[in-house]
Amino acid sequence: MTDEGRQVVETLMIVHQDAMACVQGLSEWLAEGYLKALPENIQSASGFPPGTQLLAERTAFGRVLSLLASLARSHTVDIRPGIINVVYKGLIRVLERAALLMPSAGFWTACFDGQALANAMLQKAEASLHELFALHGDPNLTPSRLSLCPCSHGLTTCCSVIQS
Amino acid sequence: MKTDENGAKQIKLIRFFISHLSSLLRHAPHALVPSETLPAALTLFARIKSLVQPCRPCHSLHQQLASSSRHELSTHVSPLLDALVHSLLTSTLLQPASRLLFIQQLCQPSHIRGAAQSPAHQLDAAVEAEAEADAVACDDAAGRLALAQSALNHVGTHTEDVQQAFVSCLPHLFDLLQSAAPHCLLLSSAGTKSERISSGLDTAEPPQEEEADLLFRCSVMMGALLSVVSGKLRSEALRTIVSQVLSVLIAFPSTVMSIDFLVSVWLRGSHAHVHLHFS
Repeated sequence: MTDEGRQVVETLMIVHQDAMACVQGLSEWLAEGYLKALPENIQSASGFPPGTQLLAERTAFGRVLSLLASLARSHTVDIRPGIINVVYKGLIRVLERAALLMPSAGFWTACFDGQALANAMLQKAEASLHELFALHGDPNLTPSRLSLCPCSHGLTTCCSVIQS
Repeated sequence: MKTDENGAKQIKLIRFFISHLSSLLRHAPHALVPSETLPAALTLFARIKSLVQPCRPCHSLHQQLASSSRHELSTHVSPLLDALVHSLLTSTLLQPASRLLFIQQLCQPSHIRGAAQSPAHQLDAAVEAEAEADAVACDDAAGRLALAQSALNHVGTHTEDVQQAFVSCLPHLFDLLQSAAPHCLLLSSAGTKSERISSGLDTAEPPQEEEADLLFRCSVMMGALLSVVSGKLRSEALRTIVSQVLSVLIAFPSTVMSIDFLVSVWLRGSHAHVHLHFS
């Protein structure tokens, strides 16, 4: 590898490590700090009407959760083995805490696009299964039945069948 | 060797995504249910589940997988899928209607076969295409059946609306059984044989091994349901089972499978104290 190439790789490594540290820090802050302190903060916020305070807290939290979910989705689509695990673990830790504090269905749909993330994860799992068949199975059997759907619905068997 | 490594990598990826999806859904089940994605997701789960044990269409794949990959599938991936279904069924965040929808979609075969037949019949390779569609439908049904069986093993821990939904879906489960029959008939019976012996249902002269295998699976599944539901629900379940089995008997009078099956189910649900009147 040339010096120039090594430099690029080293830079990328630094960026990658920084990104991981950032995500890890974010999830720890959310799970251990922010969310843990949230009930106390709400109770002790005497200067604010409780409803307004709660709404503000939820809105702020929702933004962060939305960011984390979006990060998880983009890393799922474009797999980066090192970072994706950290992102998922962070997100799930946050969800664990959030489920207790933010049970409102409206809140979830507003700030956490779980469907998009679940779709991305399912598409990756299906792609792996497809690859497995391509490696070992009967190539005539599977591709038309287990192909990723290119339509806007994401992963849908009906569309792939129609195409076949 | 390279192929084995790649195969193992793909299975690890499947495990990775299913594992994290399961964790995600435990806390945010809305991510999948109710959703347009759900039918396709269940088809995917069923297909993965059907790989755990060899069957007709994927038999060659199973044989070619490295033993470590097979182990990974049966030891890690399969329980993950079971856990995923279980967590969706038990989630308190889901409304009863969503759970009912989920159970209906679990117990109904995918539409692969019907949709694939129309264009296929217009082609010269119609027979081959139909056989392929059968094979895929068989896989799908076997996988769904395995997932449903796993869910029914714990049906006692579920709420009454879940139990009611499974009882309502019993006719669909019988459809699945019929679609999956070729798959189940080819399953290695070693595991279920020992299960049969341990449960005291094995007889000195059982029916043909492959028949008993299918029957055993059916009886475990239906028996599990009968043993936990109560009152009107149990009566409804038992009536459906008897009527379905009788319809098989009428269609295929020479078979001994149905009688054996009925007795097995009856034994398993015998403490149901339900009185049926045959006319």
